[in-house]
Amino acid sequence: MNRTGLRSTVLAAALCWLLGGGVLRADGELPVTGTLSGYVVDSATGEKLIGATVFFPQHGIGAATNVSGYFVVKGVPAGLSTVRISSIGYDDREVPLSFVEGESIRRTFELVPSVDQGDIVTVTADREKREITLSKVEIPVEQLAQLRIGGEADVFRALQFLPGVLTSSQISSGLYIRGGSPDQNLVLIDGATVYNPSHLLGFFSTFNPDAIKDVDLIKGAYPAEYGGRLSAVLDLRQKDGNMNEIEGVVSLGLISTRLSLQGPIGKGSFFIGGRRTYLDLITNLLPEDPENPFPDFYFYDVNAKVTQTFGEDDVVQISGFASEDNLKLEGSGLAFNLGLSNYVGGIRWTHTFGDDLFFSLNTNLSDYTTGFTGENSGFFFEAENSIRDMTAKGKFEWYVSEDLTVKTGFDATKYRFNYFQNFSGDSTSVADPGTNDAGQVNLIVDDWTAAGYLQGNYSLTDLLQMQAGLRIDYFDLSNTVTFDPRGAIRWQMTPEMALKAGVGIYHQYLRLATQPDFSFFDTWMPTDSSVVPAKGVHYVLSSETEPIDGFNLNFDVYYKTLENISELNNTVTNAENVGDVFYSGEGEAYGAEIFLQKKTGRLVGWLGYGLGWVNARFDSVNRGVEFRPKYDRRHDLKVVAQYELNDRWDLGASFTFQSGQSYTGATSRFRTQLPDGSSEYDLIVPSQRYGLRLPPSHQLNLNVNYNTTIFGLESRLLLDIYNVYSRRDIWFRFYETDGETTEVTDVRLLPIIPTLSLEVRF
Amino acid sequence: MRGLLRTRTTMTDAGRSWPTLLAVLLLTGLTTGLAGCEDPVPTDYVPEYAFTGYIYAGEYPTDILLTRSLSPLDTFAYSQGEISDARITIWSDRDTIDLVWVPAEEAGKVGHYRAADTTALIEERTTYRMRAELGDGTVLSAETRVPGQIEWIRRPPALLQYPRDTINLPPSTDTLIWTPIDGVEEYLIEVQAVDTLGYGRYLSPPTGEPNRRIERFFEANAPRYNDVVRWGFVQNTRVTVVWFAFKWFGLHDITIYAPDPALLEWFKQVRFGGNQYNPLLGNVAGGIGVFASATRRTERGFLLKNQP
Repeated sequence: MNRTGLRSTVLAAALCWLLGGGVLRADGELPVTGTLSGYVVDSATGEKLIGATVFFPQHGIGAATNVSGYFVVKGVPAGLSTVRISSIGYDDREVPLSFVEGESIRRTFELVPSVDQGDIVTVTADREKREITLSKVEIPVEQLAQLRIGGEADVFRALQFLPGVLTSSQISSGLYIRGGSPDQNLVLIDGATVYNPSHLLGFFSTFNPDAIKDVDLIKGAYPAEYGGRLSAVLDLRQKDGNMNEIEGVVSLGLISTRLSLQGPIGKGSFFIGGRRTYLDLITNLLPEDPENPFPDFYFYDVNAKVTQTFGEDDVVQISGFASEDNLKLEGSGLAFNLGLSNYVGGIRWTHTFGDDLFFSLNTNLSDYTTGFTGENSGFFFEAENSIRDMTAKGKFEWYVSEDLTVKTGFDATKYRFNYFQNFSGDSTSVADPGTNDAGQVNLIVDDWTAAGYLQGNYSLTDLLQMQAGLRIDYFDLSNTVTFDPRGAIRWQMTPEMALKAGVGIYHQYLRLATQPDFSFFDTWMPTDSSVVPAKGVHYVLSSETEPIDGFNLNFDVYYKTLENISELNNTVTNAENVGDVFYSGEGEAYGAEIFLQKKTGRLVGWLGYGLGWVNARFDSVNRGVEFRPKYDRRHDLKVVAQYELNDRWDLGASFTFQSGQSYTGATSRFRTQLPDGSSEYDLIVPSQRYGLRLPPSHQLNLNVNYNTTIFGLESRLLLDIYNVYSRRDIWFRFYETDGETTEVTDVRLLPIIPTLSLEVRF
Repeated sequence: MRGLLRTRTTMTDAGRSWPTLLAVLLLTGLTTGLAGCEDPVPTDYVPEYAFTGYIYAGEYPTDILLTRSLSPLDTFAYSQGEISDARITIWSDRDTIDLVWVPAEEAGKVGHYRAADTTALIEERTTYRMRAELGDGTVLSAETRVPGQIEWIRRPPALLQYPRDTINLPPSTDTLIWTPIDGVEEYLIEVQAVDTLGYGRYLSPPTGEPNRRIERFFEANAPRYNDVVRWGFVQNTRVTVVWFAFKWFGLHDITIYAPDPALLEWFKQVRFGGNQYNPLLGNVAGGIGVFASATRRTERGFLLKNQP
């Protein structure tokens, strides 16, 4: 046999080994095994369950459901077997199944919601059978919903109680994850990007937990499927709706009212839910005082989804999400209106080809707009910016064998960025597209990006698993191609302990002009020829153990480098290109996190601690000297506990303790003036940028839920006490130079806030 | 002792309770470690030399400030930072202007530097350099190019009147227009109340009616409430004179500036940048501050009272 023939034989054998699961019978024939595939659903609602495990204990094989609730277990030996299906929050279920050689069985398994949240068999290894994910946090949405601020349940607020997830302050919902700023997080809802998930200048996020079915937060080294952001992925999926009966929830809170309705429709289900604030409605009832007007403010968000099943293999979902904020102020000759909106819509089609090839196609439209208008004695001014994307995403998940999974797909996005400004004074004056004159701007930038990825996950042995992926992105405006290889390895060291390591390269194409303390007129910009895409490299080492039944203990060490990251140039007023708007620099973040979690039982919650460092360096900032960003906090301790006392009472507590945020000190003070010569301005000369640290932040929140019935309807009375011991942390510190004595002034955050709300289910 | 024994007993319960122990140790360590997280407010004083100088086409250099910055924790007394013995020269390719110190008592305001020869006028479209040599050998230097002379195309009217701001009457607006200047894309406008006390004396016939402020709900606690000047930043060569531009009624000077980039940046420093000095917005080598230029035109107007 010549060398070419030998190579062909080896390749063919390797392929057969891969495709056949790598097991040969003694007689040299490949064993003919069966395949079990299907869905796992909630028995009460028919909602498909994500991350449920399907496991054959006697064969040691199993799998977990994907984001569509679909699973495939290959290599099931012929004969009678018992399959155990489990998911957090549900009673385990064991089902006998009989396979004949080579048989494929498609089943939908129903799980009954657990009443007492008893012991659950968690099969972590099988959950990661098809994909290794490092630094992924799985918190049941029901637990996230119990973390309320001012009576408002909020997904982002809840995620801030995880170690390694920091904030710029307690009143900001922005997530600073492992040294990354909020714009470096990819936020997806049903696969569509949400560009500004915030309400009330960033105090709340736009995601109403009533409407959310599943939240995945991946804090680093995420797989090739995700791209376009440097730091983390927050992947949310909306509820499909109850397929069996109509049900609804009304919640009356101090700040907002929430309403949701779900039920069966056609061959599927629907869900619609929303919330709206009251403040404007209340103030409209009060007598107006033109000399001291009160601002009108409201926000709302709406989630909707319709799911339809066509046969065994096809599911189509149409989903939408809208959020809007509006602030209006009028008086003393000034009228001012500030608005922010997100509109997201999409269609998702999933199809299974045979048993082992799962396909999903998402087409989405996402629009984020923010702006303000004003009128001052007839002088009109207006500014607005928006980003609209139309995205198509296709993904194949090929369960090649019990040991090999291939995932491949594409993303294509058409962007339109619009920046509009009219400071001419004339509201009827609308600049032509392309105008960039003083006072009148109407810039429209069209761009598109495309990406493709391929990822293979292979079990080398029963205990050792590896994953390799490559993502290639193309950015049209800057005519750039980036290659992002990603890899991970997982070793099941003992039955209770697994070690994982991951590395990946990540690029970010979009830049966000924003302020760290609050969200106002946040402006997304593309990468043009004046800047290069930002780049990050993640290294993560992780261990997962289950030292006690029901307790998971994770330990992560991470290191991340960042290149070409952005810092907003706050004083630029006449930018020609993206490079004029931002300073460009580099950074690094590293640290370690411990996360002890109890997901089931009467007592659930977690204890997390993060130790982290973040450094940044920009040629034009801090005289080019490296500094730590404002949100760098060395220590980060979080404790969350929820206890079901009995059928009537639930108790909860959350505590956070963090190093104080950084601030900039002063070395001296001097006086200057403007050309009028009559006004004196005293300035301070800063010391090292963010070189000092404020006192630590800490806060305790308590909540009590009382379950009852009102007019025969299942109801809950919720008492929340925010900031129980009224620790008023410092929001920011500055040097006040209005007087002859320089005052070090602290602006403090909110005191204790008790709130009462009522939730009624029907 | 009992607690200790209990701890020992627990520890022998192999493996099952070590997360609890770990958590306790972790919390103990953290409580100890975190107590020292806060940095004290710094007291280090690092003096700097601060220069503020603007020159205008057709005018002689004056009101130029040179000071030493003072400790942020001491009571700020401007006079303690004044530097009166510096040798400051401003020159172009055609002219050299030496500055002299004018003490506060002579100036009637803060001590400052001005041209020794007050007939030495700054020329438009000319580059000027500044050098200040201090007693300790420190040298400050900077450069500015004076823009072309700005001229009114439509001046502010002599009389201005607005409806009461809290009712929706159509406002009488006046548009100011000026000549575009090469290289200048952003202009500054200054509206200065010339006499915050007198009002009736400028009427015909004169009366004794006093002047007063225009009260607005959002200005009651605003910083710089007492400043008699309102500044505007205009990315255009025309602007409507708006009600909000005025803080008092009565006599006003309305000035339009064509600034050089250094003046524009320093304006951002002072007006937009908070009170923290940003070295990127200054242009003085060897110290901090600005040496900048502009051309300007001023017109006087009178704002009639129309509020009760």
